[in-house]
Amino acid sequence: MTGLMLKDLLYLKRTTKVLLLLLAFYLVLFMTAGSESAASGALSGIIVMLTLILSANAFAYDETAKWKTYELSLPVPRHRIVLARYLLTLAFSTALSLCSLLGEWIAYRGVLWESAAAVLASWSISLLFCAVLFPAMYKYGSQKARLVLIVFVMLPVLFLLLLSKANLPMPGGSALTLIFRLLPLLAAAAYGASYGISCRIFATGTRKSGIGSKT
Amino acid sequence: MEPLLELKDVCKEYPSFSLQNISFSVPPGSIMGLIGENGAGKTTTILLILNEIRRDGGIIRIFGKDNIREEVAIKEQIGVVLDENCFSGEFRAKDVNAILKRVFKTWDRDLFYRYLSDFSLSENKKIKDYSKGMRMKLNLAAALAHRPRLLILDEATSGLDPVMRSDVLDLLLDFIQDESRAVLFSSHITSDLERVADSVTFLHGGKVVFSREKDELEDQMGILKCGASQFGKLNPADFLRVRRGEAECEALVADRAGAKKKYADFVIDPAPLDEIMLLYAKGEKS
Repeated sequence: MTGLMLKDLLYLKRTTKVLLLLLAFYLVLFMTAGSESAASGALSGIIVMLTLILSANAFAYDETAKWKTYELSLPVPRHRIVLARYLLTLAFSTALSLCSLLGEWIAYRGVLWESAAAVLASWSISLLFCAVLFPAMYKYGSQKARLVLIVFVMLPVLFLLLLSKANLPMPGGSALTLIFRLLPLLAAAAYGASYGISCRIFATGTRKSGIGSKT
Repeated sequence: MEPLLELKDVCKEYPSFSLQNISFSVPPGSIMGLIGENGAGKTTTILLILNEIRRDGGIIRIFGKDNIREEVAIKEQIGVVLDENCFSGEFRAKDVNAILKRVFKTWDRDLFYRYLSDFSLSENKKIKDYSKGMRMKLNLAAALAHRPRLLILDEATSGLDPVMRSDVLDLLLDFIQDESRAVLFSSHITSDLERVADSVTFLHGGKVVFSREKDELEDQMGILKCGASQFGKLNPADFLRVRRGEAECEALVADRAGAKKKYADFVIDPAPLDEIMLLYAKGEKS
């Protein structure tokens, strides 16, 4: 299983330039943010973005290389193939979160409580997005799955828009605080459930139908 | 001796295609060629053997074990080469080593690098910069470096030039020098199989037409050639398949010696594999 995780990490090499550019952009934001909390806000955004880039690219590169047929010939059970991707994504998102906190600590000789909370929220959101993205990737492939993710991201925006259109009260401070506090738990639960769903999709999807069009 | 690979009445149903009662076995120390036209069911059969798709019926045993119940243990001892490179073009051979040594318990790094050296493959060059033949050799090195007992190749030589194909075939012959090993080699390049295969399984329309020793096939099957008008006077029951042209007929016989006695005035040549395939694909039942 570690071999499969390493493969996904090696895929990162392909996007090194893009990642470095993103990092440079965020570094500039970080340095020019003016305050510690603004800097942490800039950094937390990168956690979500990089986690999604890593995971979506891994699926897309697998598809391009037609890796799946070969992967299934390896002595790795199907659920472990799925687990490898979930674990790597979790590790990557966690490492990014810790790095942003470390960056803040180095730059400002300390970490604000608000910054830690913002990073935790970003970590949770990145896992929540992946929890939606991964089963869609296994079910529909990388192209269609990205659309599913876009729809998922747009749903809260639509919800808030509808609330305002209907002149209903927007979620207040206490509701937002509750959501904020529950977010890590919600993300962890969704990520776990998503793993189970992906395992089922991956197992039935590969076994029912032939892979590739050849007979 | 127990076969390394055994299929009994294996079935798989798709809406537009079905594999029906596929049975054959590959004994140790041998190379079996799996032939058939495109769409005959070769790749589906291989995917069923690897449990990449679930069979609807029948039995598949590898090393005497059920291929589903003992899937992981079996796959530790199988090497697979597919018709195209499955590693990212951005990877290098050393990346393949780094990945697969964490996948196979018996991965032999030194053996892998020995193959790379034998095949003149640079470990630092990106796979996308390899030629098709080089990519195939890398796949072979990856399939062999954990010392498998069963090697499965799916159209591995298609698209390779004759020199590369010859190298691959030599490697297969070398592989079965250890008689505890075997090869299942799917191809529609029948000349490759004629060179290295000990036995041949011919799939046509999702069914096994025959699964026999290659020498037996070469000794026994034949093609009778005659004029279209002459063919009408022969007993159709003596022929497996016939291909009728405007002026000439070609008919496949299962027993060349017997047919030569019965039809002494006719030319009956040995039947090469590609002619047999052609007669089954294009010909009709006589």
